Amino acid sequence: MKTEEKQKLVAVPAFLSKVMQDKKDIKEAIKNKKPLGELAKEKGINFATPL
Amino acid sequence: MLHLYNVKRSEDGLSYTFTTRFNITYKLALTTYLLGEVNAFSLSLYPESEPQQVDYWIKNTVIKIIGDILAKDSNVIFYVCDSEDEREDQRHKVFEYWFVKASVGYTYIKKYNYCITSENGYNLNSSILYNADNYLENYTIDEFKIALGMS
Repeated sequence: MKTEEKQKLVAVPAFLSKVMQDKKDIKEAIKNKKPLGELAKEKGINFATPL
Repeated sequence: MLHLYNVKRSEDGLSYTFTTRFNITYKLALTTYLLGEVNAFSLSLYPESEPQQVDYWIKNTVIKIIGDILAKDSNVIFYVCDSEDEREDQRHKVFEYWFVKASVGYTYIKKYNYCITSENGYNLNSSILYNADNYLENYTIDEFKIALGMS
């Protein structure tokens, strides 16, 4: 059950840019043992623990 | 027997952690983004130190977390392959393999893939996962496309 689509674009949409930047920031924070709470405030990242 | 790691909520309550049998601690962070009116989770998994070997227990552990989240039919998770180290295609293949494995035990998980290719040939792979009983399936995918500039 999967659908695949491929699209050519000139630029990465703002939504994806934000997601990718957040991932990059999270990776760096984990590597540098920076508290995620601090990162959340600085970068406006919403963390969730649904389980 | 399916080998899994014991996943704990981090002390600050913002992520999950587990430590492997090779003594590598992983942090799994879920961040939320609005797709229209739907709150969707994005998943990030990173080790605190560089792993030296492949450990399939990690796959089992992450699949269980995703399966548990998507057991709630309104939950949605999307994944964007990190392209920072130019290994995004490998990550996408691993993710696809994990999805095939997950489909065996979690038959309610459905997936929608997309790949954006820039004019210079740069690929950005991503997927959205949701529960087959999610009555907002079409709306969520439409909003996902809008967020990606695909419609």
